Amino acid sequence: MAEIIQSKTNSTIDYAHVFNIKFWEGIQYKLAKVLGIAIKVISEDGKINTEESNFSEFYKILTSTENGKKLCSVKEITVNKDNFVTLYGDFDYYCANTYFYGRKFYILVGIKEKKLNEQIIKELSEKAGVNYNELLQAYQNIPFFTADKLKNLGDLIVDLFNMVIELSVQEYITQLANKQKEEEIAKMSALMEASIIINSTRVLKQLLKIIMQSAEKVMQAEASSVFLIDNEKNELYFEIATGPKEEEVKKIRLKMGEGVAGWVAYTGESLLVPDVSKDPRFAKRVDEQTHFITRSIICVPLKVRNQTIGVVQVLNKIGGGTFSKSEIKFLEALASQAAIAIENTNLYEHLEERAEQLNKELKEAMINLSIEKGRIESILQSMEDAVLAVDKEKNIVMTNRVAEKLFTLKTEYAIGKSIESYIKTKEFIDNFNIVLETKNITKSEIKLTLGNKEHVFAAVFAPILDEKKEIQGSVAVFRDITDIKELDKMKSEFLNMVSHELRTPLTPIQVYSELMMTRKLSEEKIKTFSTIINKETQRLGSLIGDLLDLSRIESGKGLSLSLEETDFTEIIKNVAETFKSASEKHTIVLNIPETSEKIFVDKNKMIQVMTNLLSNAVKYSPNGGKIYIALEEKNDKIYVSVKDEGLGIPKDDLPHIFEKFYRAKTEDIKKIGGTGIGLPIVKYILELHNGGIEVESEYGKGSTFTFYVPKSKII
Amino acid sequence: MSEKKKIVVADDEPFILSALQETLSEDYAVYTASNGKEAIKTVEKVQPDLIILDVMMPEMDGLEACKQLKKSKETSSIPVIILTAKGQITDIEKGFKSGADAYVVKPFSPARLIEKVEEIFEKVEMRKKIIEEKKKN
Repeated sequence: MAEIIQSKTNSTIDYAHVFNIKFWEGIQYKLAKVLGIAIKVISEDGKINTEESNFSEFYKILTSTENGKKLCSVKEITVNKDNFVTLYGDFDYYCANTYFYGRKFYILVGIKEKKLNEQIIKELSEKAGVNYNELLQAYQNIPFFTADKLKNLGDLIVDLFNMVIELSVQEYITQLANKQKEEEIAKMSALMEASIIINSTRVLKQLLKIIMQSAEKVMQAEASSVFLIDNEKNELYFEIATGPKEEEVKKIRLKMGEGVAGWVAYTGESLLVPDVSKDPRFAKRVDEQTHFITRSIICVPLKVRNQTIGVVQVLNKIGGGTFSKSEIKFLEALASQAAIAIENTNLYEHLEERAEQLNKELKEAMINLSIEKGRIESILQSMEDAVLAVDKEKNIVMTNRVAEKLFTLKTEYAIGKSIESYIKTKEFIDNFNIVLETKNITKSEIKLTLGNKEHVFAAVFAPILDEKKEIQGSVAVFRDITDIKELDKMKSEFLNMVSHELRTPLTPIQVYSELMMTRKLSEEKIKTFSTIINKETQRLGSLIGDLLDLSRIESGKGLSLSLEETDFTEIIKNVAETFKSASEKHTIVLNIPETSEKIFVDKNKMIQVMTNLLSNAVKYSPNGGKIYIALEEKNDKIYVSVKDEGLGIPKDDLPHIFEKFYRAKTEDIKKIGGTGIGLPIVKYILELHNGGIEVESEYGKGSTFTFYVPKSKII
Repeated sequence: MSEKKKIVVADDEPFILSALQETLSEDYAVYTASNGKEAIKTVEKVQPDLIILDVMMPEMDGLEACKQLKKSKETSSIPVIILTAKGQITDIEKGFKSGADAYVVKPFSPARLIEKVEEIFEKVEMRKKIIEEKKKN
């Protein structure tokens, strides 16, 4: 029965690699030398084949030729029924066997004694082409052993062989463990290295490259790459690629979900593909474009704060093996280091960018702020309102020019001082207190005595709040509304006066007309009554005329003049005539020439002027008296004066009497009705004629109004 | 027929004064004054049954004159009508504060003024009767 030596390749462990052949060969040599025996150990697949002979001279001679070598080659072992094997033509070996890793090992021990067969030696020498005598001589020197002895020696050698196997296995395991340890240490140091790099370099590409190179080294990979996700296009691009096809690879972009990298980027889960040809997820496109042959891949996601920003992959184990699952963990650890690196560099880059940006913004803001500050400052300073700000403790923090003047303070001394040391007015301080407590805006009218005059201010007190809406102080804006108030008062007084002045002539009109209607009256009375009605109607008319004139002047339309050649003495005579009959108490004394030079004036307007002056003279001399009217031609002008012996005008009122709506402040004059529009209109009419008017008066002694008009023929 | 009742009227406007006189002189004896001071003097002299005062008058205005008349024991019981061109509430208030009994706004109808005057005299009569009756009791 014959056993064919054949190789079995389905075993995953290389037993030949495990078996410590050197160790065995040493033992085998010593056994052969000491015992003078030949030993041969051969595995069934022929991978292990050791031999120590006791026929070295014979073997040397025989294998000295090519043919002899052929004769000596052992192609198959044929074991006979006595467990003997014949090798090298005529040598009988005892054949024992043992098993290692499921493989049969033949252990041959020789050589069995045998009667010299010269014929066989001769055939051998002929076949090999060597000298017969030399070969025979060498054969006769070979020590031979009996079959029994060989059997005993064979069992002993099997035991020894088994011991060597066992030692070999143990040694292999130890070695393996050491190797794994070394690998772990390499991985650890790679990780350490990566983290050191991460902390030391800020150039991302350089950093990732170093990380990937160390991954390649530790994992014994042919190539590696880092993809990052382009969120805008929803694609992956190569950030880093190492290995032989680096340049080609970098041009390629993967769609999300495309290829193993795309898959990992999409799912965020690590993936080990031992054989890409069997995985449909593998994108052949990349290999086709790069002419790289991918066999196996480990691909892990690159996550920054739980978000996948890319993937890291290593390709092809050097020497053709596959990646193990433990290597996924290593790559994941490395990827997390890379992610930190990316984040750090992004952060640095971002920070630098941001710092630069902030710096720029800050500069701009500073410029804007100073512009804005300057603008606000100049607005505050040019404002006609007083502005005064205080902090929470009511210490002054800001004042403007008007406030300085108003409260007689100097900003540089006042800043930081209590507002109460400058302004005692209770209402003022109360408003600040209310604002600081309630954060509300208050509006009020505050009366402050400045110098010796009381001023009225419209004051707004507003809170100054910070970003958190916390109160930081209060600002007060003051507008002096004394004049507005005055004007307001004047306006309402004017309306009252107008109302009074209108009703005054209306009263006799209504009374007399009603009496005429309801009573039987004498002819004489009817005449008197209707004369009064007529006069009062004229008075009403002239008042309404004054009001209309005023409204024309006020609205900017002005008064239009219709000029005609006029003798001024006629106007005076006519007006004086109407007044003579109006009052019994007053005497009008005319001091005018017969005629005067005819000049161009608006006759009706001049009548209006004279009527106004005369009615004032009558009105303001309630106790009666003389009223003098004089006309004088001097240079190119005609001067007319109206003098009364009435109340006169107090000194304080004198400068204001031509101002519209102005009414005397003195009580006894106030009691005399008037609208305050007559004199302003008189002045306006005269100025329109290029003339003017002046007044001389002493309180209690009457007044003299003197006006003039130029004697121009044509205006 | 008993003697005509006496009324003192005061106004600084001559035509208004004459209008008042014309209106009232048919039934009453009318005495005129052209300001508050004059009015008081006249009142003290003639001891009228009614006084009609314009508000805006020189020297002394109607309200002031009214106040003074109401203060004086001799004249305080004489009813006063205030006559003014002003019709605003504040003026009416001022009028009553000064002690006036009635208020007539200018321009006025003579018939209405006569009514007002008669009304006041009726009230005075009523009061007199009540006081007399009280005295009897």
